[in-house]
Amino acid sequence: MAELTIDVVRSLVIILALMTGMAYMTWFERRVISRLQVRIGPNKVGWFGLLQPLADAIKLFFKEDVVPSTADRLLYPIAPAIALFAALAAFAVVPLGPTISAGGLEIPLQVADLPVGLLYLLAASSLGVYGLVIGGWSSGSKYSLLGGLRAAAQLVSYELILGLSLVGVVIVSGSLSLGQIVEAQARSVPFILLQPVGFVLFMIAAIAETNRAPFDLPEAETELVAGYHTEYGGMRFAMFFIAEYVNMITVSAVASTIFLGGWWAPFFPGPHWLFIKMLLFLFLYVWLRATLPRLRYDQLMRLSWGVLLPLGLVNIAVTALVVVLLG
Amino acid sequence: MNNAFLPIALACAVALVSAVGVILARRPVHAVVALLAHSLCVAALFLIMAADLVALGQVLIYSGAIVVLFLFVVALLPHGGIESVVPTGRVVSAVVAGAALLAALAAGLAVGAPTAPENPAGGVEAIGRSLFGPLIVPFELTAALLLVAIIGAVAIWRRQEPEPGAKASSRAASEGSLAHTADAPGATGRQRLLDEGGPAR
Repeated sequence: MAELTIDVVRSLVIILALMTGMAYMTWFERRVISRLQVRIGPNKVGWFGLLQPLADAIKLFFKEDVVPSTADRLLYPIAPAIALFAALAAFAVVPLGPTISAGGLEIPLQVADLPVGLLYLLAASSLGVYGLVIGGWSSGSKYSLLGGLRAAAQLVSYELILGLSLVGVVIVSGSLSLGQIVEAQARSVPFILLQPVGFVLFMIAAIAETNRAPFDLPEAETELVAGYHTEYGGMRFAMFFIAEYVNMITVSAVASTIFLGGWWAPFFPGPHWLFIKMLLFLFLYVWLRATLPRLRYDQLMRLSWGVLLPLGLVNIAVTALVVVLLG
Repeated sequence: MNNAFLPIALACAVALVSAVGVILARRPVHAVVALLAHSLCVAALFLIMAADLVALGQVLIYSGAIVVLFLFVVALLPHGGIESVVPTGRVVSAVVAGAALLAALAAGLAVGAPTAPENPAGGVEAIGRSLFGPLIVPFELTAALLLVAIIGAVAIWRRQEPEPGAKASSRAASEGSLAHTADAPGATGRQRLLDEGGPAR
């Protein structure tokens, strides 16, 4: 019973932390991107604008719930929930820190250390696309439909790259469990040094999977108004938005865990190291958005199938060869 | 009754309901969403039976990739792709085929219920060892099979392409097909597709 209580409490705490983290990610993004564009950004609501996410949340909560007359009554409300569910589920396998013991109880700082954690991660991220496609179709609008279809094609293409980029790490560490991947890095070096190509592939694919600039074609405002979420408003829109930001946080956490050693560090290892490493990746997201123009659709597809896929396969072959030769 | 009964019953019930939903849904998109639910229930059943890898393979390949492609196609159907009334003959043949399948399954179970394997650990390592050990030849042959399937699919698609003219090079052929989609009949066809896409049009 105590174990079940710990599990439930731990899951709730992590979901709550993700929600809060996501809200402050929007603040962080707006502040940083403002500086990059020589503006100031939100600074009126609270100290340094720190209450801005709260004000935004209240606004979204109290907006009228508008359903377009052409929408599909059954699927239109479900789509944002699917997106959010997949985003939150993916974070479950990220190890936040070493197992701590309190009051005679062992509390691992991770929702679940699955032996097939990496596959779980890919599976959860592959479900997120349904929210986008179903949302795009059920809105009954051309822009939404096109955004949803773009999302489907893009995510299926880049999921492949994401999987390939992780195979190298699996070969080097000999495990699919994220906990053991962290331990393997604690014994040797962070895998970014052993798998630099895998790291670059992972980052490109992960940014494409989260639909962020320069891969934000499913919601390209110059062509598609807002893509798959054009017809959504209020909290339903907010759920898509939360899903996107939670996905960014998850990607940052996974990248830190797999390539930078996660919570492990040569001195004072613990969750704070994971947090610092995640901040680096979250900053990278914002930096890229402020710097790079959006890819054209054919460029996106050529990059995935023509450049990244062969590169990923070569990386796996070379990694396997080196691992076998070195024993 | 052990403590796995409730999850198994729940997963089976949802799987059954969603399977019926796939057949009965009038809109193809609804059918595909029901298929997704069904596929996830099957994955849940694998998970309950401690076959982690199979469960995640089910989610990753069937739920995450194949059903997405189904959805991709049916989302583009005009008028949301609502089907006309199904002819009686098809219903009857489906019922007969279903009954035959059920009878075959029941007969198979009556002869002897399947016994659990001696070492049920279907972990990644066990599967990897058997794939690259005793099963290496069939495993590698699958690669050739998939390659043949891909080439076959491309060949079938090429047959549908408009003839670019006997002397035209392949480069000119691809330009020709691009020009074809941009000219008037192609453009209006595409326009119609967009006008009629979506659920309620």
